[in-house]
Amino acid sequence: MVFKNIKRIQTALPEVLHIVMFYNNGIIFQTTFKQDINIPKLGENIAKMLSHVQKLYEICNFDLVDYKKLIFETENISLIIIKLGENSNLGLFFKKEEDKDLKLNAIRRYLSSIEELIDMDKAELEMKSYEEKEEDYKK
Amino acid sequence: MEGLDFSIIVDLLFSSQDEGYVNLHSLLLIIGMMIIVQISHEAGTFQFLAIRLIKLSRGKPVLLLILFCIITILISAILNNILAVIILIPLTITVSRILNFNPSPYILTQAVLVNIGGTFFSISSIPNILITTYAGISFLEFFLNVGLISLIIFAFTLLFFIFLYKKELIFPEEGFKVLKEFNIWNFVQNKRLLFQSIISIITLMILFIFVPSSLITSDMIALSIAIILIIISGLDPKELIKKIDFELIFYLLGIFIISGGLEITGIVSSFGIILSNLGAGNLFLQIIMVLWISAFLSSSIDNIPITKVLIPVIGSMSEGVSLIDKNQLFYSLSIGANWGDNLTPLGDNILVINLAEQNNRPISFKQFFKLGFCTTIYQLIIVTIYFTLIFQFIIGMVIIITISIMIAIFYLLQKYGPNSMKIKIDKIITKFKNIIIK
Repeated sequence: MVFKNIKRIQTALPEVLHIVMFYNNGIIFQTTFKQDINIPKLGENIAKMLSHVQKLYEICNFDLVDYKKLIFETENISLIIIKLGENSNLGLFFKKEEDKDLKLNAIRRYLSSIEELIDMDKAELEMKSYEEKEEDYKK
Repeated sequence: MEGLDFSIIVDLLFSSQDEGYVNLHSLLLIIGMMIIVQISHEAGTFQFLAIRLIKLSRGKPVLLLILFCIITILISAILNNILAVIILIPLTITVSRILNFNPSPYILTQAVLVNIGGTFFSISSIPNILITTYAGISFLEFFLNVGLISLIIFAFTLLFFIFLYKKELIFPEEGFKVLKEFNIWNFVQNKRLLFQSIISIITLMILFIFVPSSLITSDMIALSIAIILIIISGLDPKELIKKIDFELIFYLLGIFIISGGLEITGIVSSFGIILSNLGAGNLFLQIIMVLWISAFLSSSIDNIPITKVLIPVIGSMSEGVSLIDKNQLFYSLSIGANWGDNLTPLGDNILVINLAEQNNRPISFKQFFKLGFCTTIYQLIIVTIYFTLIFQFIIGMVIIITISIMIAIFYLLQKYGPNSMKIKIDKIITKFKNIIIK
């Protein structure tokens, strides 16, 4: 289910080297990286990147409403972290290419389906408990 | 000039030769365990095993609750409570995100159960290490006398949680298909380190059980395994040392000085005499008193200083008592000091509330307080009945038979009684549940 979506993203964006699906606490759900790299550390550090930027916003007194993506571009590899659900993110490691922003739109629909699968939002949770309560009252 | 040199400070910190350097042995055991646990944590051992077990639930909510509870006590039997919740709470919330359920019941039950896991082995918590080192209680002896009680109480607590939360535990089955795709190897740095840490923990347990402390003390076993693990793991020792909780070690040293001071000044023995007199010299009453007093004291003050102060108090209370009976007092202290922590959501438990909030799944202080308080009282009552059964068999049997008859009548009335009675009983049960969990 989830892995199918990863494969689709890789097909849609062939310049994507690796994909990391991770939570804000650093737990990696799925990745295309092989076990020969230190995956728990990858998760820990990629999650730290996000929290560092969030702290940076706090220091600068900027309001952090909701982040959408974080781009780190180098000469050979670029990393784009895209927000998936409430606490989940997708890290895409690219070979150096142009026009990534445009191409990202092509994978948006896969992102929302992954988000639904791996991360239930708080709002959804509240809605669910509201529905349960409503059913209780009906009884 | 006696006492004007540093010897008194050294004696207070590490205890004297006459006392067998109990404080030093405790410290070394704690450091050894910290290193083993830190390496196992780095290896991802605990998360790996936890998710492996969770996958066995096959998406059945009650089975998932049972597995979460088992994982909690297993992890907290080896780790200290703080590290256990640091690992478990984010993991539970992540699983809840995948399985689409509200993690609050699971978080709350885990927070309560880490303390039960803390009384499984003599190495499961710092109060246990302090008690067993002081009283010379072996690993096996502790497990047979306290660990087994904890297992029984765990079973009762699990039944209580299932009774409370059964109707709340619902989640869609398709979530489980997604969970199956969760790659558990993502928790593991490398397979070699994972197996090394698992083998080390198993070896440690075997040595603790089979090697008598008169031959090699527990601290030396733990420290030796820790050193071997550092060497074979290939991890950077400097990085490992940075992660050792030195704050806790200095905190312990401070506690050693304070409790030693209280002992030297005679405050401890006076307190011991008061408790002895309150128990009217009756060992059974003293055991029950130690259980409840230590539980209520450790609900508001950290259980480490409470234990350290109460150890010599018990020592002075039990003068002239046989070794087996004396140890019963220590077992009672271990249970009270470890479990009493849950009577209030203060101390370590605040961490659970913070972790849940950090992961966007806040739980309320009130909710935690109600469940923690009720469950701990329930657990302490069962232990009291257990001790009654051991020391006052007839009274214990009368209590057990009375409770069993009451439960049976209640059950039969609910199942086969007239409809009006069934409705009344259902209302009482719902009201009782709502008081605790809503």
